[in-house]
Amino acid sequence: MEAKHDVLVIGAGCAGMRAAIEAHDAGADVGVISKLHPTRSHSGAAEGGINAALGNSSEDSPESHTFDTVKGSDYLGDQDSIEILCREAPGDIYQLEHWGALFSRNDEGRLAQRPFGAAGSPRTVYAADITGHVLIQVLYEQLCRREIKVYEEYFAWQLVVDDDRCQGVICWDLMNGGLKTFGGKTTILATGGAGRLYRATTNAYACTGDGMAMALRAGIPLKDMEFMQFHPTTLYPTGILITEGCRGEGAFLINKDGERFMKKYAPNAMELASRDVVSRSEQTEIDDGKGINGSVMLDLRHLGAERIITRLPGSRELAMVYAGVDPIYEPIPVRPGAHYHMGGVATDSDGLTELTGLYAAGEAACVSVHGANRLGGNSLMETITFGRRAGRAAAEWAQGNTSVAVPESAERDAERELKTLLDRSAGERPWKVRDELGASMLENFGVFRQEHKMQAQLEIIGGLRERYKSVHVEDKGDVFNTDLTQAIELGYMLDLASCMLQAGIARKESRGAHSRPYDYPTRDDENFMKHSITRWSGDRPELSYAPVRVTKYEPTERKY
Amino acid sequence: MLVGLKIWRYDSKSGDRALKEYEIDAPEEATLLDVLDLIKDRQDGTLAYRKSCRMMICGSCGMRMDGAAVLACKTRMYEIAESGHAPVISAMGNLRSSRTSSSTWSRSGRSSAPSAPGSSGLRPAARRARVRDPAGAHEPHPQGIALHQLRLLRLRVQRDGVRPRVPRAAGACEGNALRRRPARRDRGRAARVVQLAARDLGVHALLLLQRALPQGRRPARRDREARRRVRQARDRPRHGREARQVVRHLGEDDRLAARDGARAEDPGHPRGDQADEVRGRARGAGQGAAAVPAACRAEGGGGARALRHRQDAGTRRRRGHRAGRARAVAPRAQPRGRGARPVRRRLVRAAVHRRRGAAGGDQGMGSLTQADVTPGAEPTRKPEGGA
Repeated sequence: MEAKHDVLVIGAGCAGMRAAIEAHDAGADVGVISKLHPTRSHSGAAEGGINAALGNSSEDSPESHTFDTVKGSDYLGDQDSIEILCREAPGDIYQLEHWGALFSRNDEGRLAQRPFGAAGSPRTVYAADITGHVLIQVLYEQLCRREIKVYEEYFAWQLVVDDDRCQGVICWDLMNGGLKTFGGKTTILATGGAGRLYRATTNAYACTGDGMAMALRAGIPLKDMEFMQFHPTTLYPTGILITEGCRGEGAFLINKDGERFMKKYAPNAMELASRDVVSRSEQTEIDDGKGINGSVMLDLRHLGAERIITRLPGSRELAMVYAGVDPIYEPIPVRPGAHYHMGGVATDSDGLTELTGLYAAGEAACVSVHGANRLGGNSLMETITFGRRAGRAAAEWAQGNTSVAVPESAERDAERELKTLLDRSAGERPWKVRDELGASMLENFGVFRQEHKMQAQLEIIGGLRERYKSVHVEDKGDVFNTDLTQAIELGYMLDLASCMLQAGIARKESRGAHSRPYDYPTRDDENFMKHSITRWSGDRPELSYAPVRVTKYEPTERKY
Repeated sequence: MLVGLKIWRYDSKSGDRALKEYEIDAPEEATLLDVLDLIKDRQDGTLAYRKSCRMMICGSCGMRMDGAAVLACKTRMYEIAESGHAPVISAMGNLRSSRTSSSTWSRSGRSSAPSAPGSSGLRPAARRARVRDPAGAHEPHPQGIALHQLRLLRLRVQRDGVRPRVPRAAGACEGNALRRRPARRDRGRAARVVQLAARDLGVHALLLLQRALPQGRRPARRDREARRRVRQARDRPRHGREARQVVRHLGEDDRLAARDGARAEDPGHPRGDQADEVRGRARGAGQGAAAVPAACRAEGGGGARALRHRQDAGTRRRRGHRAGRARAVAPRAQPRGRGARPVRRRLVRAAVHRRRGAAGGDQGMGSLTQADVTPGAEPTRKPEGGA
């Protein structure tokens, strides 16, 4: 065994680092495993901001935040977890600020809050448009200050389950090569979402759903896998994100005729409606032929150069480098792209999954606070709040239990599997399978879903999984074998895609991000107000359902 | 477009380095990262590089193109490909080995060994203030002794300056910002000695400390000089205070309201009748205005120093506030600047003084020479006795 820790955190984004910090402060010995350097995690690409009901901008309260989140989730979120999130959010923001996060301020000197999609009052705390970057740096500094051990560039591959407990994880050492085993009394999965399933996504190359797939293969259920949020404003073809903060500052979405088409779909909130509403509106306009080259336009010209340069400098640079337009003078061509995965490993409000000793936090988990659709700014808040809760719960459990036992058989099996993968000398290269997966998912399981397309996609994924069995890794070396890790990631993505498709076909309604306008255009609360639970059995997923926890807000019609 | 690259490849098993050339067809909007991805996927799967966000936020894809450090996800290849140039791609360098230890920066001053769990990164003293954790021990740190020596050196330099230690003058006080000499470009040998010592220890921060440390070996003299400078700064004529503190001598034609009783001639003036006496005496002495203070002094009473002399502004306390008769008996003789006007003092009836001298003691008037009397706050009781 390479090392043994009380708490092992897999993934060093906002959620992972916050969990590690809290577990350390609770007295546990923590080890963080990450396949990237912590500050390169995709949490750093978050731009818009982090939500909390501070009340600096206007009258606001945690109850109002709760209601907005519940409504935004299309009433699929578990309302007790949402209440916890909204109640503890202000305290977490202040703690981040005390740790040195330089948030933007308003004229009174208090934390500035900008309006975001589907929020009743402005509550998104931001730091220009690099909020994620600021949070990552702050959390990394706190991690370094506590001198927590970080195992950088270790690719987590398999969870070790023994005696009905998660005993640790087997990793591939990227720098030096070889399988390394880490024992941990508790393990926290904070590996992020699976945006890379789609060709047009805002996610980094690293967002391949590793933790979710590892948990799935270890027999742990996943929740609400069919809900993938499509962010309205992404560039083409790269899928690079133009933050919702632009719309928060007042940008307009216009079609080929120059009209603000959102007034047809969400007359009250306009561009600041919920993200699924805006994505659907854009996709409708594009499908009707009112787009330009398959995109609609995000117009910031009326904001003025000064406001763009002070408040949205990153977005401006991205538009200039990747779209070739200067938003001060020209509108930016945008279209929907896969952005956030609302589903994940099923956990409770303390991050505990079904398996003892395994916790999950962040985008990899599904508590569920986002339900069928997430509000902008809530994700960063979820990573901090539930990262903290999972860290504390894991540390407290670990300190009450003493032994870690990684069986030898687990290591031997893993080595055998790896040898099989590496020994194949000829076969298909992974990139073909990956490209086909990305293109077909975007085509058949995108913003709008139809029965026959989803069934076709299920077949395609079956075929791809067959082809994956003969995929061959060209690099047989030890040092920095990214060919091997990319092949393993492809396997994860294929498993997750089949789960998503199965849950999506079975959900015969339109709710939140799962939109079936041709066959089931409305929401069906009687039959489908429940979470889809996916388990892995044999070599295919198995679907069941779990109820939604409703406390205060009964489902009503959702209009913006 | 056809993109050509020359990439420095490294074989981890044999340790060989070689420049390999690649050429691949890429779309026109491709960046260097896209081209590398295409090469890795389709031509050479052993090519290894870091990448993550592909939107110039994370910094993973930093590498050198023709020697210059670039972000691969930001570098558009269109113009390079069109010009037919095949840039040389190499790594940034082994950052891991050149990364210095952060132990002097981290709170506990220790190297990357994990701190005791539950400590939340506090200093040892602060940690002792909390509950001591039973499990972990505060193991001695290998660099701890060096750090301690460093702190001692810093304290020594701060106290004594760069020259060897000498016994300090008695009464010298501790470091004071006023002791600082203004910076000069070349400090000479002493500065170089300190810089060498600092460089040997590997702590360049000490070089920065020099500006903040007091100079020289004689703190007492420096303190005195500093005090003198401060006092001069304080005593410089100022617009507002000057108007209040300076004795304004009233001319004959000053048109002050008679009801204020400011001038001796005015009916309300409390000492109106005494003024003539003193003037008479002075005239008698035959020296005019200059003799008035002499006459007063001769009376044995410097008079109530109602109006503070300008030079004493701000230093009254320092001089030792001698209240009451002590001040009256021996008023301090102040050197007055050039062109200063003769001092006029509030006068007390001579008769009072004589009687006091005879009776020996306070006649029940309290302090006759109230040092604190300010204009407009004269004692309201007239002194006893006749004119």
